[in-house]
Amino acid sequence: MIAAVLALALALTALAAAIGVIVARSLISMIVWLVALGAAAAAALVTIGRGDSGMALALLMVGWTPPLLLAATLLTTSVVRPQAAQRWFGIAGGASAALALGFAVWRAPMTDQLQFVAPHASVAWMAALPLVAGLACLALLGYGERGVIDDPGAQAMSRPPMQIVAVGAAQSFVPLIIGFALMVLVTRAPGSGAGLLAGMGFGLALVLYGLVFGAAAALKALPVWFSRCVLAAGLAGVVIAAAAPAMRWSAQLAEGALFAVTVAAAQIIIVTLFGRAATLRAER
Amino acid sequence: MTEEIMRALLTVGIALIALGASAALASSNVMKRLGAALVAHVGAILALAALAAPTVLLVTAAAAAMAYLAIGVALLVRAQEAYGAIEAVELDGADALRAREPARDA
Repeated sequence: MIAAVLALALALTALAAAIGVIVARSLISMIVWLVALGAAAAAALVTIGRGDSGMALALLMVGWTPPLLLAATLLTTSVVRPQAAQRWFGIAGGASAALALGFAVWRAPMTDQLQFVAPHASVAWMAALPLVAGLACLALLGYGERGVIDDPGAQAMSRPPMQIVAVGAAQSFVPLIIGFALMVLVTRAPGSGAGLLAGMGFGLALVLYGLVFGAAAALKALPVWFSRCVLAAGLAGVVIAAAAPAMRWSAQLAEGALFAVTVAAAQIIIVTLFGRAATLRAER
Repeated sequence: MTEEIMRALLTVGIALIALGASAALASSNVMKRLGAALVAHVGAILALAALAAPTVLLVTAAAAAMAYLAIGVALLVRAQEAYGAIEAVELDGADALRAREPARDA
């Protein structure tokens, strides 16, 4: 009972943070509000006993969203132009829609009438999401051809200052994060999407490495050919696991393949996006 | 009592979906639209959890949100490179200008 009330309080905090996201003019503030929203929603999920889902949401909103959106802010603009009429239109529309839907939900049938089909056999198909995301980033941005990767001058310019605290922290935390990701992969039951959680966790280590040492160093640590091989191996594993679901190790193979595809896609996303940053900043 | 609280949690999730969707429709800045869409994604995950959806479904929803975020950021960067702006008004203006240019040449 107390846990349910706490979960509701956290969900309301998430709602307040969502309003902060919508009304923020500074995009940095918007990202901070997004992190607060994700943290509150993830805590609400954990409080009602949905630990794995809460971890997935925390990895997404607290781990992945800030670096990707901050990199985009660096590449584009940091402030939203004021458009008061549209903003109030959005708030009024959102509030009225929420009230109407809330009323409908209050009278709607709850879980005892709803039947979800648990797609345990389709974990392998989940790999399509990171696969498409990674390949789309590669197609749109390339391996930093216009960025730091192939330009030694831009590399020297973009190299972050080697602060001893940041380097020490990265060197200490990257192995810990990788260990956490592997622990998630090994200990969670196959068929629950653990490969994706572990891959997102592993990707956070790559994000930290790329932020501290630069995109070129991240690409050197996990070269292009290695990412492509891991992606191809993951894809092959996904196909085998999906084609033969009755095989003895099919569930484990699907999770491992999902992990491989997610890690390779994460590396591609980081390198393609971070690889653009320095040149574009210099072009301003 | 717990069922009422779960119902309230579902309401909050749907409110987040509605807020995110309306802000994504109304915002002019493309990155703001991306942030609003993420709000709607979080609302969908919360609503599914309140409806006792299986864990693998919630993890899939998080994966979809991650893929959406990555592709959205990549498109954002390409829009900035191609147009020099990420405000919808400026993108529409640049498109209108480009559409008018061939007629002027003719």
